[in-house]
Amino acid sequence: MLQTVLSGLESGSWFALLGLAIVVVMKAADVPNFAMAEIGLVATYVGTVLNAAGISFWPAVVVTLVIGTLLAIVIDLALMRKLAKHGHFPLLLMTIGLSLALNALIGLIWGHEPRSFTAPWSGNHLDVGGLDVSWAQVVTIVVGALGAIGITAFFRSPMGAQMRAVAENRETARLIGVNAGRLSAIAWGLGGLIASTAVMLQAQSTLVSTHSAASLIIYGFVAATMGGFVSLFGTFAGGLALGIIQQVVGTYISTSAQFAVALLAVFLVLMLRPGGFTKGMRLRDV
Amino acid sequence: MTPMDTSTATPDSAAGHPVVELDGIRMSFGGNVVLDDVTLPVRPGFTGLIGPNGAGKTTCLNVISGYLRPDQGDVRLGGRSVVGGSAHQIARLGVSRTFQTPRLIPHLSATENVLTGAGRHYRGGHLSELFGLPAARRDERRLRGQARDLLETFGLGEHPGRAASRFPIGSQKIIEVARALLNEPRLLLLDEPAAGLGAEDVDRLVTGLTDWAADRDAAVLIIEHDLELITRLCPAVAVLHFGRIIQSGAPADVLRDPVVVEAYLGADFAAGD
Amino acid sequence: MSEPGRATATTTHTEDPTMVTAGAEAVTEPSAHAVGRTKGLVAVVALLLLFAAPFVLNSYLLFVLNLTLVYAVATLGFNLLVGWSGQIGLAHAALFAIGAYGSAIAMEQGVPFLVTIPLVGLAAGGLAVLIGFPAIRLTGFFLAIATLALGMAIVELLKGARAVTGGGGGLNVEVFTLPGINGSASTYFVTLAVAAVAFFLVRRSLIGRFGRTLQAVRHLGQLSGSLGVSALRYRLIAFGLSGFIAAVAGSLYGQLQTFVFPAMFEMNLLVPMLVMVFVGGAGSHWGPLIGAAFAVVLIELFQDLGDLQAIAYGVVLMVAIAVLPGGLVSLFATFRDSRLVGRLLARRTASERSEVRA
Ligand SMILES: Nc1ncnc2c1ncn2[C@@H]1O[C@H](COP(=O)(O)OP(=O)(O)O)[C@@H](O)[C@H]1O
Ligand SMILES: [Mg+2]
Repeated sequence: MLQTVLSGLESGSWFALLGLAIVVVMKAADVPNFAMAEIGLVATYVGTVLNAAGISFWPAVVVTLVIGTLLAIVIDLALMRKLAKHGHFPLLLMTIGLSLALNALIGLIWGHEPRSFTAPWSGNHLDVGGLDVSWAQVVTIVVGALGAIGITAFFRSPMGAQMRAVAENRETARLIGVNAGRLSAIAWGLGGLIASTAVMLQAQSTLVSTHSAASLIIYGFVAATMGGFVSLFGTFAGGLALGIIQQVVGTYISTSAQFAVALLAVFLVLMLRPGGFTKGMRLRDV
Repeated sequence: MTPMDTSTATPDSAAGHPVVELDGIRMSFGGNVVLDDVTLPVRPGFTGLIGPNGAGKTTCLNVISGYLRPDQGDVRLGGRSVVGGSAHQIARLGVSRTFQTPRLIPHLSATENVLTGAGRHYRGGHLSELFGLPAARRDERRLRGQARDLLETFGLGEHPGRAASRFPIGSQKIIEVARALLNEPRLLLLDEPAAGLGAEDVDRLVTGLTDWAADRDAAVLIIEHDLELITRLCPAVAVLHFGRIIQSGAPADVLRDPVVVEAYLGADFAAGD
Repeated sequence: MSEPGRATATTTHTEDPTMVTAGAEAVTEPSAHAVGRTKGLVAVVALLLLFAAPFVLNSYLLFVLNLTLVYAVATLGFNLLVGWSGQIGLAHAALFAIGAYGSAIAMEQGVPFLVTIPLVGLAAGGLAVLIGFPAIRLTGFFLAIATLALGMAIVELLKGARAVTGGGGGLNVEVFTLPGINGSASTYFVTLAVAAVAFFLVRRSLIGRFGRTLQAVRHLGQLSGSLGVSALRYRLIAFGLSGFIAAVAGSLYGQLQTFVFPAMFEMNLLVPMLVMVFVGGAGSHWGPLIGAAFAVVLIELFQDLGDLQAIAYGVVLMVAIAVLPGGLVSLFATFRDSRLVGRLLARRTASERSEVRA
């Protein structure tokens, strides 16, 4: 059981980080980014290539993170920015189109076979009172928690406060002189950074592929939903909970039921916790 | 206007049973009390509701039209309590309203927008429309004619086919008034209909409304900052201040009341009057 | 602006003098009627041409045309939901699957194909209303994600219920034939008939009160209550109708493919459906047909390209959105509103007007 919970915390950390990446972009730019996992995957694949080409681990990690960040910023500037005024539908479709294209592009360049990003500690295990703990799990869980703390701290900073202001009310934010464009680029960059961290963590522990990205994005959205797409803490806790539920269901029921359970979780959360979701109805504007 | 003022609707005329009555309404948003023990009968004819910004005027309309449920008190429409009814049920009882910022369907024509107000006057259902039954066509023709006539009355007859979003805000507000009137309301709630209108448009609005009201015993509750318009139109006026009705009666008396002047109008107006 | 329809035909003549003095803008109303008649004529001619298709096209082209019509019907329902009622409900591919599976399973039980069409429609319509229930509380992206989850759950269910659906392996569909006509032509004729009826009825209800009410709900949200409209009721009606139409299209799709399996109805179908709505122009009347043709041609063109197909698809989609955020239909609108065309149209209506007076 403990072993299952441990694996759950590990995969939950990936989900939680990806969920946070989605929420950060949603908060500042009001875009549900379906391409987030692919952005992380592109960066991670570049990292593995560098690694395979003999570049040592840490420089490859840095390059991966930089690429993830830059890719996301470029996407924001080149594709998303000017669509914002046309409403939600084109934005949603644009990220879907982007995820399709990126996913296929990765397949075309690197193939669809699963890969891993070997870290110096990959394969090493600890024995903690009979519990088999891999270093990869330790790293994932610790980095996940640090990441969540870091993002929370960021939103407490003056710039984070501006982002919250934009999320609250775009018009008002503009009136008080917030540069929404710059904030949106920063949010996308931050999102890309977190997403590449998430996928890289996944890759140093297990295998990643174009298929794993497609399911990772769903789980990221489940986590984000649990936080109502606004709460960082809710998203993080939701991601961890989802990871544990997945592992428990997979171990004790069936791995084929995992996906259905995740979907059920989304639905229940959306129906039972509408507190954060009634923003659409603002009678103040009457 | 004056003939109407004196004949039909002096505030306490016996004939004028209130169409709607707010009775001890208290409304708060998370501890912020916005309406406090508001009691206001609205009789047939025009009633003005004035008060500084943030006094709670729009909130009053939201309570009457069913968008907000008051913490306390009762809203009686024709003697029947409607508290707890949803907005569309109340509208179907003959309550129409306009919004402080006009809410139209931007790409539909003025006529089509006015037609969206006709809901309860279609005799056939959607199926008779789907199958193109004669009754449905007759409904559509009759109501479309009425919608055009209304636009005509308010001086917007020239461009019945122009998209709503291409009209200036003032005209959009008038289209909203026409939309509300097509419902043949017995209670019409207008939220600052003249704000943003030119003098000519205001005249047309006043004429249109008085013409419309002349042969009906509907009640019109009108929120307005244009006090001249209020004096022209309303035999009765109530003043809302910090969520309380501080004075009501004939405009001439109310507007001269020192409490009102103090609270709302400021020394300038008192001097100029 | 939508056309005033037949009702204005009688009023046009009586109002003619005022119309003439009122200037160009007012004249659009009677001319819209003339345009409506032309459009009707175009529709009839197009229908006749489409009717002749099985006699002139080879089997591949007939399949492509048939598929386009099936998708056009599905998109008609999707557009009603997304474009007209303004709700991004993402269970449409799953409801389409309900139609395909439902019809095939009912036929196994001996129900004639033509009877299964309305049956699956009703079943999916009811289910769609249930799926739409989150709309009581959710709008926008939240509704999109809730309905996406429910749609995925339906497809998971199809995979799980092996006894009835054959699980992931799929299900053979018994092909319906009209007497004396071969299978693919039969399927095509049924599709054509269903598509014609569906487009006719949906368009008719959307240009009138029903369409106006949906748009009021879309643009005014809860505030449409003051028009005596229950926003929730119309949101759910839109879900129900879109589900009905999706399943009807799904039953035709099953006939066309003759074999169905769950993986057909996942994101790989939902995304093209979104593309069809978007490219056709959300909230338009003929957009679904244009969008479906666009998507099918795209899919067929890039058929054998493997990964390149998905890239091409994604890139075309991105370019389409970037260039035409309002869909292809907005291109026509831009064209129509442009100066040159405006002047041409004005001249034409002017000459028509003098005919009327003469
Ligand atoms: N839906 C709401 N939620 C919270 N506060 C509200 C809401 N509607 C109105 N208020 C508050 O109630 C007060 C009165 O508002 P309103 O009725 O719009 O004033 P008026 O129309 O007289 O200018 C304002 O302080 C406003 O902020
Ligand atoms: Mg107000």
